[in-house]
Amino acid sequence: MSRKLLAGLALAATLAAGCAAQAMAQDPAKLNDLEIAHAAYVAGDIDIRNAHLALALSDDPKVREFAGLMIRDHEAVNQAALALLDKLKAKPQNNAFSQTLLKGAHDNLAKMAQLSGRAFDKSYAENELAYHHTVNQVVGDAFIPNVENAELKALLGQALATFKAHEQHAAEMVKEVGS
Amino acid sequence: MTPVANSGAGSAAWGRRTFLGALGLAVLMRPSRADGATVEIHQLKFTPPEIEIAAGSTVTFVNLDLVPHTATGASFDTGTLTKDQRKEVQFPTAGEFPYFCKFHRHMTGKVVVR
Repeated sequence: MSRKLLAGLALAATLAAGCAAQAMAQDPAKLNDLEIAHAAYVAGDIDIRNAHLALALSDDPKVREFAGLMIRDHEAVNQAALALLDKLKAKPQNNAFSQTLLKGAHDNLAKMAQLSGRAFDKSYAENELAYHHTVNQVVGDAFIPNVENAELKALLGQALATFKAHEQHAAEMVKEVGS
Repeated sequence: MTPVANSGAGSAAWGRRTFLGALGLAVLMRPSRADGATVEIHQLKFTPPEIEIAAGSTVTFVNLDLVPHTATGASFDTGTLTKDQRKEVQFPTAGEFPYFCKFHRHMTGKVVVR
C-alpha cells in the first residue's frame, strides 16, 4: 500500500470515521491541481472554523493563543491561494475529497460544541494535533508530489512548513492543557 | 586678502577637490546602509538567526513567508509584518538583543551590537 494511500486513509479515519468509504471514492493522490487547490483551501477553512469555536468556548490563554494563530495563519495562506488562482485565472474545483473533509469537520465541530471548560480544551488540543498531523501527511505525500503547476507547488511547500510548525505547537498545547 | 576670499579658478578647483574628498571620507566613515544587515524571515525561521552589527547601524527585517510574523525584543518591535513587508530597526547602543516572533513562539533570533 502506498504512502499516499495510507495518508488518505489516515485522514479519512481521523476526520470522518463514518465516511471512510466515501473518502476513498477519491484518492487525494489522484486529484488534479484545481481539486488540490480546493481541498487545501477547505482544509484551512475548517481549521479557521475550529479556531472560532475555541475562541467562543475556551478561557484558557494557551488555547486562545493557538486559536488566534490558526485564524491568522490559515487566513493568510488561503488568501495567498486565492490570489494565485486569480492570477492564473483558474477556479478551484469542488470534489469528493473536499466534501468528505467538510462532512467530517461538520460532525467534529458539532461534537466539540457540546463540550465546555477543560473537556473542550483537551478535545480541541487533541483534535488540532491529529488534524495537522494527517493534513500534513496528505499535503506532503499526496498534494505536493502530484501537483503540476510550479507556483501552486511552491505555495503548498511554504504552507506545509507553516502547518508543520502548527503541529509542533499543537503537541505542546496538548501537554500544557492536559497537565 | 585671505585664501577663502580668493576666487581664482585654481582655488575653486582646489575647494571642490577638498570638499569632495571630505565628503568621500565622511561617507566612508559614516555607518551606511551597507553597514546594516538584513534578517530574512522564511520558512518560519529568522535567517541568519544571529547577526553582529556596529552600534548605530540598522537591521532590516523582511518577511518572505505567507503568514504574518513579528521580530519582537525587549526594546524593539517591528509590529506585524505581512508577506514581503519590511521594517528597519536601528540599534544605537552596544549589547545583545534577543528577539522572537510573537505569533510563533519557537522562532527566535539575536542581534549583537558591538
